[in-house]
Amino acid sequence: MATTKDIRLKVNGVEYARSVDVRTLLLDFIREELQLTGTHAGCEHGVCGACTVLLNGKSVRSCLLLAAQVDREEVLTVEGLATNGQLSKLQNAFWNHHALQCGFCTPGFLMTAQELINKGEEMGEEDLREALAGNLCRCTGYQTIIEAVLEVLSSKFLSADAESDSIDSTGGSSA
Amino acid sequence: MKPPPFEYFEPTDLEEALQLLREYGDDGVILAGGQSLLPLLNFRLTQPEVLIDINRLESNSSLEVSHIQSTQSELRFGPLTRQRELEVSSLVRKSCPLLSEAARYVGNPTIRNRGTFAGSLAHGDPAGEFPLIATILGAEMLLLSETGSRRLTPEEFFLGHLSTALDGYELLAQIHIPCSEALTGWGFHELDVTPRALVAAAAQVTLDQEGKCSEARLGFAGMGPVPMRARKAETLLEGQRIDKAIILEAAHVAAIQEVDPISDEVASASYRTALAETFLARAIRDAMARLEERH
Repeated sequence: MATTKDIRLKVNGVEYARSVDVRTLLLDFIREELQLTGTHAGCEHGVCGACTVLLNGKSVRSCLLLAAQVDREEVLTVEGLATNGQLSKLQNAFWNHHALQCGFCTPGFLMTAQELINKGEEMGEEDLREALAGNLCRCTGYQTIIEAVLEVLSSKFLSADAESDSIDSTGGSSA
Repeated sequence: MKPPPFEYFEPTDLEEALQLLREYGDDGVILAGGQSLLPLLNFRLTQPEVLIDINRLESNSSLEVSHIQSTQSELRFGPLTRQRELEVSSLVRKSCPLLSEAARYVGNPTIRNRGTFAGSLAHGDPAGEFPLIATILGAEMLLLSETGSRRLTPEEFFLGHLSTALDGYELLAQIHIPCSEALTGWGFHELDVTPRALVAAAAQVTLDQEGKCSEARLGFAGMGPVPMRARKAETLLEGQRIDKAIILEAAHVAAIQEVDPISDEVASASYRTALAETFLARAIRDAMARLEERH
């Protein structure tokens, strides 16, 4: 007869223990309970991508997950990308390429792109556009977002310290 | 835009899950990938009293819950096989490339990380890619309940728009997909109105030793209340040498006679029909091209 559940989970490397209503969405848990408001509530039915986080390294829609489902799991949000206030390679690329305007879609794009970077597969522009097709942006027209992500994806194959582009569930660079 | 109250169970073994389904089946729903269910809950279009979350279900001697299995003649999927796993599986790409290709169009990559193949079938969206492929390949659906099991064909399983033969106390536990034979070509085309298809067409063509069509499997998503199998068009092709003229004729017959598309604010029935005819012709043409590559 469960309408609440005790959960323990890691978010950006920090362990939390909480009791949640079973119907609480992971999105609202992250924003309201943990006060991590970088993850955004857009459409609340999975199509816009603004709520995307990494769950055990895989991109997921936090609006389509219950907090009760992530007991014992590891979550990475946009707040977990920077290390000691230093923006990640991907975040810097977004800055340099002007890949955000209002910024509402940006955390979702960063998390989806980070999954691709962590995988480290070579990817051309067409494949990248398809891979990011689940994230919607109303401001930029996508071109600068694609350029920013492509820059990081291609540098992964050129740079000697490619390992440091990967960001695991504990947040920040793994290097 | 938040889910209504419900009670929540997380069974870890199959027996427990089936018991819960028997007890709460009338007022309860299964939560697997959740990529179709959560939107319904968030919009409160459905207000089940009970959620049975099967994500912690463990495999046992009688049921593999997630790993894709194969035999000589078929692929087998469990209740938790994720769409993404199916999409990237080299086993699926080799044994059933049509299924592999269709998977790329389901939702988007992030949805596919959680969404399940079984869940997509259980949801029964006639515009869905997986219901279409299951239909034209003659998939077998294994439904389990506490009291027994039954095996259904796609025609028995898909009953209408978002309506399947699954009873509230049953779990779609396994799906068997027959695998391609050597002399088989396939084709798939879709107009993707993310996250679903507007219209999709799929074709699988098998040739005999003389190069004539021995079997054709053709169908549409988004052209009726269930995935539509184009049997008249299939009969037209079977026994014939397939050339451009017969492809166009078959696509025309299928798109005019064997469909029941709606008109809505997205597209008119006539536009959907035009798409269906074009896509089926391309899909059959691609199937023939793939067959030629193999010679």
